[in-house]
Amino acid sequence: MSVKARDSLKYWTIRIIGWQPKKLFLGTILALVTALSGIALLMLSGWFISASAITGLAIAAGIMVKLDIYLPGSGIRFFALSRTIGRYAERLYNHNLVLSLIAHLRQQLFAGLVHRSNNDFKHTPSSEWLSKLTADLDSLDNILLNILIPTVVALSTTVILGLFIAFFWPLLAFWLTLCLVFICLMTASFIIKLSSFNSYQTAHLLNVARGQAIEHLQGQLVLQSMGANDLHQRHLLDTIEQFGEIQRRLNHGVQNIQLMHSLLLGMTIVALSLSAFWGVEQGFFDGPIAILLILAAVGIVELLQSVPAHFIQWGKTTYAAERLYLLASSPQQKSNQVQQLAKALLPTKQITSPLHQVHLSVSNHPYIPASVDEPIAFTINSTDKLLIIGKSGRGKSTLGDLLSGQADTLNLTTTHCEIVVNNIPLHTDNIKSWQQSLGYLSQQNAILADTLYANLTLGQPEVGLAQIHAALDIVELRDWALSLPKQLDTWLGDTGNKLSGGQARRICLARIILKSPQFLLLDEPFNGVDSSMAARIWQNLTPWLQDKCLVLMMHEKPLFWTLSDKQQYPVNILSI
Amino acid sequence: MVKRVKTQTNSRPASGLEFLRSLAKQQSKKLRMSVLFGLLSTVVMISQWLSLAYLAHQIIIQHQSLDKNWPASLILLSSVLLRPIFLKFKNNYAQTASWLIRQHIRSLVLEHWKISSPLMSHHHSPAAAASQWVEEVEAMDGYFSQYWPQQMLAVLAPLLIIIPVFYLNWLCGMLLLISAPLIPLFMILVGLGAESVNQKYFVMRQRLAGHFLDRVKHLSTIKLFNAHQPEINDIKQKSDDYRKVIMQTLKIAFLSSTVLEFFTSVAIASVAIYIGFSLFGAITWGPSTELSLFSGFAILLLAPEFFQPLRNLSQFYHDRASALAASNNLVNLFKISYKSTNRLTGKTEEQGAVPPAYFHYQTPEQGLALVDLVIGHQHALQTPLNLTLQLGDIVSVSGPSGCGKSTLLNTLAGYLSPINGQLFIPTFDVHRPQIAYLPQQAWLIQGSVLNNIVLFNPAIDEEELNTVLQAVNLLEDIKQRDLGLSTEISEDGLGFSGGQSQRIALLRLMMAPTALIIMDEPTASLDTQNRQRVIEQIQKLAQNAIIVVATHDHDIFNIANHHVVLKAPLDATKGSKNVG
Repeated sequence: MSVKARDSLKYWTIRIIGWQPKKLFLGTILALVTALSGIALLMLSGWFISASAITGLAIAAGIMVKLDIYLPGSGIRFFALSRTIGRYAERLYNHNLVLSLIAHLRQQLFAGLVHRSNNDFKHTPSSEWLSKLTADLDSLDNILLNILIPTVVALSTTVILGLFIAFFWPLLAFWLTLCLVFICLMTASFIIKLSSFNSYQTAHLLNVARGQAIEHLQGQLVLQSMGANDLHQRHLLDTIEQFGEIQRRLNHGVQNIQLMHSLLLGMTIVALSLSAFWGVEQGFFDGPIAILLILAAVGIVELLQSVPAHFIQWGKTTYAAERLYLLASSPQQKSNQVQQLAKALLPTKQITSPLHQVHLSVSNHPYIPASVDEPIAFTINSTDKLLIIGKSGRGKSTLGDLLSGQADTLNLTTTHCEIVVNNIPLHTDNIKSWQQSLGYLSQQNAILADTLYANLTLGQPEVGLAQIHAALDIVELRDWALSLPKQLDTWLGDTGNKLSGGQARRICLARIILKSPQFLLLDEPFNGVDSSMAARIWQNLTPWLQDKCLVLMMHEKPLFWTLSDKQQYPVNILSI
Repeated sequence: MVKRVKTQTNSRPASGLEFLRSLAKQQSKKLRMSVLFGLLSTVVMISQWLSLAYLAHQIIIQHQSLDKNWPASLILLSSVLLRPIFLKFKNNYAQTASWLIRQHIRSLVLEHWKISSPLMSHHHSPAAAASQWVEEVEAMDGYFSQYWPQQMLAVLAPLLIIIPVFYLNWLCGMLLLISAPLIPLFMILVGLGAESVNQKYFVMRQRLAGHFLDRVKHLSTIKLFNAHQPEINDIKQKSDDYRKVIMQTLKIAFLSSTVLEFFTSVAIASVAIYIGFSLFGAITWGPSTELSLFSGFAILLLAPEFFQPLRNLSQFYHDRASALAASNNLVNLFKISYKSTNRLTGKTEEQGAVPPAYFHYQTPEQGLALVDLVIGHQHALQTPLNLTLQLGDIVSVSGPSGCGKSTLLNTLAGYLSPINGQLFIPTFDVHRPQIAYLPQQAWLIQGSVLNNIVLFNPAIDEEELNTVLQAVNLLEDIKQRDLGLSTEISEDGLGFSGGQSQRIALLRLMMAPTALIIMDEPTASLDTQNRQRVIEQIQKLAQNAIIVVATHDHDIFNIANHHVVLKAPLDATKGSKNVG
């Protein structure tokens, strides 16, 4: 395991323990009580039947012996009940704990993500990235459920029962505890070593296999007509075969460690049982006590049998911890000192409205093919309108992302990229202030899974109903919104009202209208909207656009342009 | 392997559960071995507790010495040591079976991809289909390696355990036997209760569960609108709401495991009290007088073991749920393939349908012929097409968007069957027909430039390669790179322009010649210089092939010697009349 992985595991463990130590303690105590109740139930039952067997025989032989059979009887009933209730309470309590922990971690993680630049997870994260994130988050509760709580419970049980045995035979207790701790430490370290290596390998191979499968599917048009499917799927099968080999090795390793673990524990039990019987023979204690000691040991060993199963997740957990650590720790914190120093020397100028001038120049940008052919540069003043026309694949959207500060300017020596607003160059520290006076409609429709109202008022809770209706009027959605059963409270997204592409587009546009920024950057604003509707919306927008600075990006000169030629403002056209 | 694949596809599983069962049947030998070793471990477990109880009786009641009882001690030791060995074999058989089954499922899916037309829906979201192939199949592991053997053991192991208990004391045996069917009954009741609560909160739960991912997905928008602070608080709030909803269900769902816990505890307690009282002499009726410490202690030790297999099964129950979900998805995937299969690869016989009557393969010298070909999906898009071409011909296909250019190309490639008419396709080997298809966006594989070029013909030698590279002016481009032909093409194609990618794809075709080459807009999105080079390469390819190219490019019209100009599509009603 690398130092980095160990550090991130430590980081999350400290985070988890420091989060709500009292509740964690209570959850662990509940688990401990449950475990001890189960063992005590068996111990007391064993003691009770052997004691009554001896007493019964004595009574039959005519010897007067006293044994209270009712007190142990109620003890047995008590433990039976406390084990059952304890188990239920423990499961409920700890699951509640884990769910609140996840809620807490999500909040932390989101706060961390907010402070990261978009380059770290691309403009819109892929579903694959998102599902990995969820899986990683879920893996973190392993720290609590599979590592912290079971280890503490197992250790405490061993110590408590060791002390109990020591009460009757200290030497035996000493050796038993020593053996058990040694066996468990050895097993845990073997399992950790095995799973750290293999988890990384399996995760890596599965990723490779997924990539190859995607490639295979994308190539079907080419492969099938050539009859070359078998030829290409060989790589895919090779990777999966390798994955199977690693998994087989992991399984065999776990099986062997579990075997060794169980054999050693079994030998310990047999040794302890025979010692206890020998103790009876020697008259150290009577028979029922021997049974008591044997069952105590059987109880601990049963609990310790699951040590390999708990630590098998170790590798996956550290792997997840490492990835999440990178996301959750904001880079600002790390280089805080350096930045403060830099800020003191050269204070960053924030961009304040009103905007006078925006200038952009890009050349040789790998994601903007148009800039490779010939540098792109333009300057627009406060109420200018600029139309950028470029075919798909020319890098329009990347240009939009650059201008909106969503994509980091690349640090390639061959690439030149500069955005200057009000004579202030744009960089990480003043991007936020720039984005405040910016309204960017990107090509993807970002509809949050929430109500229509929440979608429209994103980031602007103070917006009033009248303004919302006015904005909906502009995008011609007011009648639609009023016709919805719950109107503005209608739920949008996967589990709610299904939107057409055009409706989603217009909601995103309305959101920007409500923000009413001075600088507008609209990338194909009428995608999915039919041309007559587009023309009407354009007409509605015109008065509102009058005092705004607009950059409009289209793949061809829009049809509505001619319709609204009577507009007063001149439009510059840039073809890329 | 192939044979098994065929029998599988013929039997057509109707439901996910049925599919899982049929898969388990294939590896039934290994799975049964796993169950067998599980039962063997139960047997040695019984002997372990019996010998311990026997020792206790001999030493505590009979006051015998330990030395005299070495056979029982030896049995105890060997049972304790044999049990983990048997369990290892049990796991090993089940895990091997699970791996073989997963490999088999994967080959079934690959086979399905091969025979289903690339125009099918699952090819449009390759990422989802790929993760089905990788992750979903992986999610079925637990079902075969854990759940399946355990569901057998949950029935068989308690039956084994009850035998010695009955022998020792029939009353205790009866007690356990009566409680056994009660457990599943209670668990089903609890399950139903949990399900109804679950249903009640279904939509709410779904919304809350997806909340966090949704916000992460839209993080850039949230940042743009400066709404991250309220969203951070909202995430905490919604996650807490989610916790509350989930806990409502869990409160009931956990009762299920509590039922098991309850029965185990009650069984131990009542057995202990009954045995204790009997041994004390407080109970004198029934078989209690025959109890000894041996039988009493043995029953006490066996009672929790009686419930253990069922408790293990309930632990693995979620493996069943995830396997079933994955299996249902697979069954749905396979269902699609029965409806439409790729005509070219001739896999239609599996459907029991007639072999494709539209496609005929002939030698390259006989050329390409379209005879009264009517193309379209459900309705004819064009009036019947007739065309005859010879080797060396280049035919351009053009027309307004929606006129059926891609439909024609896909029909020629065999990905779509025509509505009517005949197609005569030239190929070098009639028994192993090959048609080259060049999509608009060049399809490059991850790997080196060389890997890409020799993809369809790995036997090519370097000298030959250099000659061809020289011929198409790619040699210079490639030599400029530090690693030359070994330069890796990364996932996003960074470092290679669209033109270079297209030319590499064309080069691949030159390395593995076919008689018919189909191209879809090969020069769209290319600049003038690259376009010129691609056109030169197309002309070289045409020397020994027939090229059908859909295009808007005038430079390509100029090199083509045939032109098919498709008209605006026929309307649907008229089209269907045409078919009739």
